[in-house]
Amino acid sequence: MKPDIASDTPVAGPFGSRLRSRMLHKLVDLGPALLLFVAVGVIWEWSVRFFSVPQFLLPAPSVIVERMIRMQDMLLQNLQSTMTAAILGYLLGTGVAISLAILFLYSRTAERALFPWAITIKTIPILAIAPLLTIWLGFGMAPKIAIAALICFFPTLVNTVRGLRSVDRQSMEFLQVVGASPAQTFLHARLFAALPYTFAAAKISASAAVIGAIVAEFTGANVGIGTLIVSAGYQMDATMLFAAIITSSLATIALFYSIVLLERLCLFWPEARMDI
Amino acid sequence: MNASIASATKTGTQAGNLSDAQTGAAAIRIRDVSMNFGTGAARVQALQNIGLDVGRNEFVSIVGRSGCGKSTLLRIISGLIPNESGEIRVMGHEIDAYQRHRRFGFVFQDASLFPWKTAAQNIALPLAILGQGNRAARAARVEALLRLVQLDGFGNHYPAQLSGGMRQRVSIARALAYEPEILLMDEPFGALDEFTRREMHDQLIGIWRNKPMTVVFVTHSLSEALYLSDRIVVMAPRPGRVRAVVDVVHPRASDRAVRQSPEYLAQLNELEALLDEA
Amino acid sequence: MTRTLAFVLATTATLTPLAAAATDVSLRLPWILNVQAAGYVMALEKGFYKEAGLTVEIMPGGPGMNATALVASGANTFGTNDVNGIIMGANQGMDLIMVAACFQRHPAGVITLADSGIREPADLVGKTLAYTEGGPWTLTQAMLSRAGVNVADINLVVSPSTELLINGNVDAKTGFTVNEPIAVELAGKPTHLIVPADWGIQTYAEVIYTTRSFLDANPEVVRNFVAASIRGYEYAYENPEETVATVTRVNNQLDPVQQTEQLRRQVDYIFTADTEASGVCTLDPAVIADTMDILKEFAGLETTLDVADLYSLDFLPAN
Repeated sequence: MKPDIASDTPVAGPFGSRLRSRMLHKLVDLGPALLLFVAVGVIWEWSVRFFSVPQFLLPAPSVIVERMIRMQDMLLQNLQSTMTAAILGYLLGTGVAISLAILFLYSRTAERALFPWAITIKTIPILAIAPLLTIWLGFGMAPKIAIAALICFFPTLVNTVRGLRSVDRQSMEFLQVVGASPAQTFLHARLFAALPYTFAAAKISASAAVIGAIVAEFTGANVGIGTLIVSAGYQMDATMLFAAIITSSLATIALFYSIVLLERLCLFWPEARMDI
Repeated sequence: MNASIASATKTGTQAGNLSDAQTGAAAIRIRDVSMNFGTGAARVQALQNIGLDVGRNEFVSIVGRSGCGKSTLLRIISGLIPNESGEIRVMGHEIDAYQRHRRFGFVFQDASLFPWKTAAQNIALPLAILGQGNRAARAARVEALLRLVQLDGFGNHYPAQLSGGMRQRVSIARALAYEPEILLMDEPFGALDEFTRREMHDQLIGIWRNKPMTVVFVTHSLSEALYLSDRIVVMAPRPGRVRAVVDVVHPRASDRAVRQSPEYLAQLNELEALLDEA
Repeated sequence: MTRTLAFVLATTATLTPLAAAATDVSLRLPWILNVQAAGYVMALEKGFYKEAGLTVEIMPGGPGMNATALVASGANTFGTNDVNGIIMGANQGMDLIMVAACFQRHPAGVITLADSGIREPADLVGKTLAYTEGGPWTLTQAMLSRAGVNVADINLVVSPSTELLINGNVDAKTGFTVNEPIAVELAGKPTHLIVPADWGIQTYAEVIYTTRSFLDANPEVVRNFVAASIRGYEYAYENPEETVATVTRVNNQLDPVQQTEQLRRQVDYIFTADTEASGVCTLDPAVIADTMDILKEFAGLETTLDVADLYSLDFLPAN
């Protein structure tokens, strides 16, 4: 029997067409950003030529692009090292944060004991402890991964804790009335409630992890985008500096959007995404 | 006051009690239940010496102004809040013991469906939690329930895609999924517009007639209570207590003529007066 | 009476413009202000710059700051840095010219603990050496090469940390031998230094430089600046206590004990046989040419620069 339309009109159409129109919207959204990007590039190029800005101060985009193409092998090789460390650190930091958040959920004592430590870690200036981590963890990937993990850790912890506890009171009462176990409550309610919060932090952490790996490379690596930046500084090569930075930025953007895609998969229900 | 109505109204602590003959068959028996919140100067007595019986398959409404403790009472009955003092028996058992073999149905003020589950998945959830039946059996039951609340075809919709009324119907279907003996409803239609609410009344009555169960229905709407219930418990606030219990003269009167009869209107006035006196 | 008055007026009239004509210049240091800059600090403190008609503002460098670029862009007038930096900068199109070389030798080298037994470059074979990209590493590579040591035979790790050496995690590290070893010795571990300057690698650790465009427009200013700075150097090393007191007053984050020791060690890098013969801060073109060769060979420098464009001998005081 069909419902009475006068009293029960659905808010929106079936799920499928909503997704399609959403994707079209995103494409339209990108338009202005791309235009602005191109405009900035053109103004930059023209300004450098018109004002005869020396290359060591501000290289023109054409010069930077030429260098990036010419040195692509070297850039990619260093990028690979940085991104590997960044992604591993990101996974480590996020994994620990989520595990701790779940632990805090079931043990208030653990939360009271460990949360101040989490805050303390957050407040340590990364650049200051990077050399120390090199001493403690040895050289190579380990300190880079550690620093990337440290940077990701806190936002994800805070957000996930909040998300896990964000199930509304009446839903919790419902689960209590039907006698759901803590595991069932977690699986059916808390997990999904937390996902939007965790993804919000995950998106922010992604770029922070790459920066963390680069910072680690300033003081204790012989390969990576950070070492290219140091080298460029020693050789006063501003073009190389820009090339390195742009390369890592592009990779970070790619990482960010992979997480956005993953988010889209995981947050499949309507109005789930906290759109940035 | 009309004599027949006067005799239908009992006041005070005896008010909620059924006759001794009926007590043995009571679905819910509440004796001397009190509840306090807060400490020291902020101490509030939410409930004071509540005594009440609800008969099997009886439709009882609890009405009262805000702060009279009606929602608290409902939560005490369902075991969501443990009672500090007094005694509660459900089908003759203590609440914990009762819940071990049968669970309450509870419909909340907000539908409180999980946004990440479709209507069908939300309805199926209690069955999954209670481990009742296999996949196919559950799917069949969900289909039946969707038909019951007149939402067949909407099973794969997410709550965000349903109107308020539809969500509340899913919520009712969910509460009925495991065939509870006792259905507790906490102002379930409060957020709906007038017309939707009237529709829901008739649907609810239809469901209840189809499969009789004990219903305790909390509302602040007198007309709603008068329409739906066998008996109405009037509560007063500060401290929360039972002011009076009224036997409804014409329960579930679908005939408009009856609803405009002097008897009916007199009972409505009496109830209003009781509420005002609190 | 009128004649005296006229005379006074005339003198005042001529003197006042001279006083007002003191040129404002700035000097950008390559690092934070410490006793390495003693010569300039004392030249300012004792009024040598003022007597030369210059108002000098000394501005420190620091991590993340490119002092060479600041001078090249015109934001600062003069700078001091090692020759590596000037050549690298010039290679990137910076219009730089060196006019004096006050640190005649370069204190960058290898620092090792005295009890490690490492005494010369060949002893590094099979040992662990910590380095970071920069001048000391370039010079160390040159030294190893000239001593016939293959870098591949040394275990290299990248780290700037002195703790590694103190804790024994590494056998040696590259660094600046006038200041870093002091920290190690204060931690109770005597050090041994292997300095490329002792092994035939000759380069200037500190030159005074400016842009060619400024030099062409203000030759007298450059000349006066160099001359006053040389006076400052001579004064500073004749009066070490006063120098340390002044430097630590200007930068109160420094440790006077460490600065005194560093100043003492710096003497051998400033006052050499060459300066005896030709004067403090004298400049030898051959050294600059050598440095460029080293950079080409060990720092991957690719350049078409002509060494002759990078310096001028005309601004040193006539000896």
